[in-house]
Amino acid sequence: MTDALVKVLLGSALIGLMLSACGGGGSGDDISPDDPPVSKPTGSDKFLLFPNPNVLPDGSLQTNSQAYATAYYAAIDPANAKDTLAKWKAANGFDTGTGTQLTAVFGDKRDLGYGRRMTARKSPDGTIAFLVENYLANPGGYGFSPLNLEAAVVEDKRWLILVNAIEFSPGPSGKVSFAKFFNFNPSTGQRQLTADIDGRGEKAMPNICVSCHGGRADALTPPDANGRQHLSLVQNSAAEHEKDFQRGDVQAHLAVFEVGSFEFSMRAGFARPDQEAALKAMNQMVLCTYPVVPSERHSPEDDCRRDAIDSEWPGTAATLIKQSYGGDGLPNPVFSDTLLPDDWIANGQQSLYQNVVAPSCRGCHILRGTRAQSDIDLTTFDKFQGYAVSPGNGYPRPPGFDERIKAHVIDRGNMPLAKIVYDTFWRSSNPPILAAFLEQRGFTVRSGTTVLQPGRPVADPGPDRIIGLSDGPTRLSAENSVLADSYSWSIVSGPDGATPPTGATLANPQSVNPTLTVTKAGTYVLQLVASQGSTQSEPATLRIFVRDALPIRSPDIRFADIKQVLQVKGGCLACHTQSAQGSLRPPVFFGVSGANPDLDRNGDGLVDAADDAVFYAEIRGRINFTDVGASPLLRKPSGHHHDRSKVVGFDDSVQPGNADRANYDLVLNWILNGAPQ
Amino acid sequence: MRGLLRVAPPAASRIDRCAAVAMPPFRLSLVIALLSPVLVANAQSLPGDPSSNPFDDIRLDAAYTYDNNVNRAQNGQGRLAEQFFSLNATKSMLFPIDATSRVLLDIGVGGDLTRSFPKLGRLFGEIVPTFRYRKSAAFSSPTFDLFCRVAADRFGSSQRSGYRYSIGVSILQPVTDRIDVFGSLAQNWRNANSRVFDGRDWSVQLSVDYSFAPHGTLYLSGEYRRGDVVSTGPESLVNLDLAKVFVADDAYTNPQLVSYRFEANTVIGTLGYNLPLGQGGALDLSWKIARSTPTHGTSFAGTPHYVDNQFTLVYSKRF
Repeated sequence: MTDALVKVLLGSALIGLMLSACGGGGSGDDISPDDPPVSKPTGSDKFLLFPNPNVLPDGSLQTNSQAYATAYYAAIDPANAKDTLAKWKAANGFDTGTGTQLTAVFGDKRDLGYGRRMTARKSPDGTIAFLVENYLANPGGYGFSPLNLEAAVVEDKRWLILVNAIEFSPGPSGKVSFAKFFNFNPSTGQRQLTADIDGRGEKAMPNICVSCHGGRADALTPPDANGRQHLSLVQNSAAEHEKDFQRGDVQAHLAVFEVGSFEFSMRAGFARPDQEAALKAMNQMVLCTYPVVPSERHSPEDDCRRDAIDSEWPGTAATLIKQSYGGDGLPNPVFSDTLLPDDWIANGQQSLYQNVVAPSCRGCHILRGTRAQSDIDLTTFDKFQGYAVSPGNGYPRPPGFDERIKAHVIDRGNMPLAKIVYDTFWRSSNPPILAAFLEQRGFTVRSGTTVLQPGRPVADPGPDRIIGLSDGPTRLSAENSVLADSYSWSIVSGPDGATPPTGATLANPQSVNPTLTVTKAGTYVLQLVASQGSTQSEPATLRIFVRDALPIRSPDIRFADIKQVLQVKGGCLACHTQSAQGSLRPPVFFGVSGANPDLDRNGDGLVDAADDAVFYAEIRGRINFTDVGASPLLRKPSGHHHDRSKVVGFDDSVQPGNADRANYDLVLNWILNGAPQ
Repeated sequence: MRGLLRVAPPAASRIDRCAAVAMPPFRLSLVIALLSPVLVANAQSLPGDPSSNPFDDIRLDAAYTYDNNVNRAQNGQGRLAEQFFSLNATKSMLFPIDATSRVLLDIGVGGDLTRSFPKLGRLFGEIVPTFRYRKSAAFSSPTFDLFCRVAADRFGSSQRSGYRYSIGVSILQPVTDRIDVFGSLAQNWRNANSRVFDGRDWSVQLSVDYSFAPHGTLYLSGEYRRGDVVSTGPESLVNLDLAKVFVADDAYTNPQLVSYRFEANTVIGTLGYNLPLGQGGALDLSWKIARSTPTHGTSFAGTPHYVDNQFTLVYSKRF
């Protein structure tokens, strides 16, 4: 028996070894329904962030911080009376039987991908509120799926991933109504400072909402005596125009329900025809939240709209609603999905509009702009092409040169702003349409026949500039480059085109911040190649114009010098002041005319250093440290989409060092030196 | 019944066929699963005493199974049928310990071929040691088994390949010279390449055999299982709600199908007849029906159910 048992055991062991090849242990393809939604990064992964996210000295993004969200909620709800979903619903009269309450359920296939159950209310007092339940039945992933819509239809709370709300009501001052954005935890109902709405991680309120609702992203104030930071005042909004120090109106607006961009269920009661009337009623509610220029108020649906003040957004998107329902009076019951503005037709740009602008730009841009400066709403072809004027290769640059479309769409990948919109655009056959337009405008946007796409390293050595020999060594920066992890700088030529250059050395040329030392005045041309792994960017050129000395050594420029430009030299106080009226009223006041141009910016009744700190924060917030040349502080006074055109000393079409751009050069060098206070 | 070769008897049925719904659908181990209960029933007459020749006494089983819902489709919608052709070899060995106890060892290998979905075919092997206790040889003396099973499957479907383990106890109680009652309690695990096909469940089973000796045995069994079940169907909201884990299936021809594992209560019934056929041979015909009900339903679609029927014909021959 012993022999037999041994044989049996050996045989068993052999079989066991043979069987051990059969696997076990789980597969990478398995998906748990509890897996959080995660989407793969595409492009430069800057979704739902403002192009200028207000980079702080520590590199963090102020507009994407909990501090920002905290300041926002404190501004719109100082008593925390709406810090839970239940409180918010109660405050807005949900399910009370009063007013008008409507529900629609659809798949937001184009923008955020969710199945959305949207309940809209108009209360007897005129307050309008939208509660949005967002369903994402796409475990482990993110994107539109018919299951998202199905979950919204059947209210399958397991997939309720996000509850957000927009309320159009008077601010804490009790005067002008404006849109306020809330985000609630779907499980606890607690108001949230952050949310992950596209599978790319938590981002802060209200940034994730208002970045595509026409909102602004001004800097926070420095901490007050209680250590609290506040939203900056935005002086051209109706709410803040009505009452000093009313904060929180970030000038975001409710978006148009573009019905054709939605997916609908086939279930009875949830198909598009079943919900068309409710969606039209919702669009009418949205329309009521838009201000209207008095001269354009000529049909009954405008009765609920307040008059727009001259300096604010004039309700541009109302045109989209009206025309989509047949014009004034909204005669058509069905939203037109193929609206094509006359201007775009007249310019022969139907394809560009229908394939690029309407699906990828319009939803956000139509909510932007002011009555004084509305180019950014892109409602006409002329406005659109105003953002695509090639600067050429030398000086002087053409009037109105502007490469924003190329920068945002082709190079930086921060537009389209939302991930699904971005991915849809780049997977479609539409990029060549945009590329053809940009090529006609003088831009190079292809590699061979392939349209260049974000996700590649892009070298950015910063704007051309002037320095003085007395400045000492100059710190260069490749920090504005995109998707790069290594850098290679070189000096191409020196004064008078000398190659190799003489009198110039570059320390640490493989670093992001090399140091240039020159001993001779003249023009130096440098080149930067940025790389990500083995992928190299196209070389980018930086021209540095060297003089013996500048009026102020670049390292010595301080905020006081910038204030001199803004308050005195630039003549900015013609508009950027409290007394500015009508469309001249800008979002930021630089001061008042007189011996002491400073303002009481914190509302304490004093004009002191604390106000200066607030002013500094406001101005610093108009610097885009991710793309210095795009800083409003440089672009606006130099006439790029600026109502008053060019400001004295800000002509950026001329070569650095030219007296006509002395102020521009001063501000630029201050920025490049870190914008010290 | 004693001394007859029973193919697909209640015990065997419950161990594998029950798996039809209670465990992943590929668990179609046939007569190879004949473990303790059968041997219990035949304990005194089983050949295979290793003191003679442990490599004699091999049993071969050839089986055909028709499964009308091989993917365990929900509410019968979108169900797929499959036919299995199986061949298995089992070696059973007995090691006496004393007058009342012994150790049995079953070693089996086999395979299934399928008609419609080749990746549901498999090769498998298993080892089933059993400790048996019977107080006396008196007719009414029950037989107790403590058994475990270790098995490995290699399917055409990589996701399904893996290991199975069982541990349990059983009792066989002769009631009359024609009637035997069998009961068992077992826990089963599976560890597969895909977590979807991992699983764990408890089972309790009761079966009754009625012998028409020498013309055969009619058997009826019922089983309750609580644990993991796998279904394959479209990626619907209901399925996602039920699922603990899911994966795009790699066995069926429709790429839209996902397999998902969920917790369920399963009831399995088996009715079969075993007919002796020649020296050392037997023919067994059985019908098994299993119904699984998820332990939690959905708020919007209620609680679905999963029903599967299997019809099996087995010819078994001992050499």
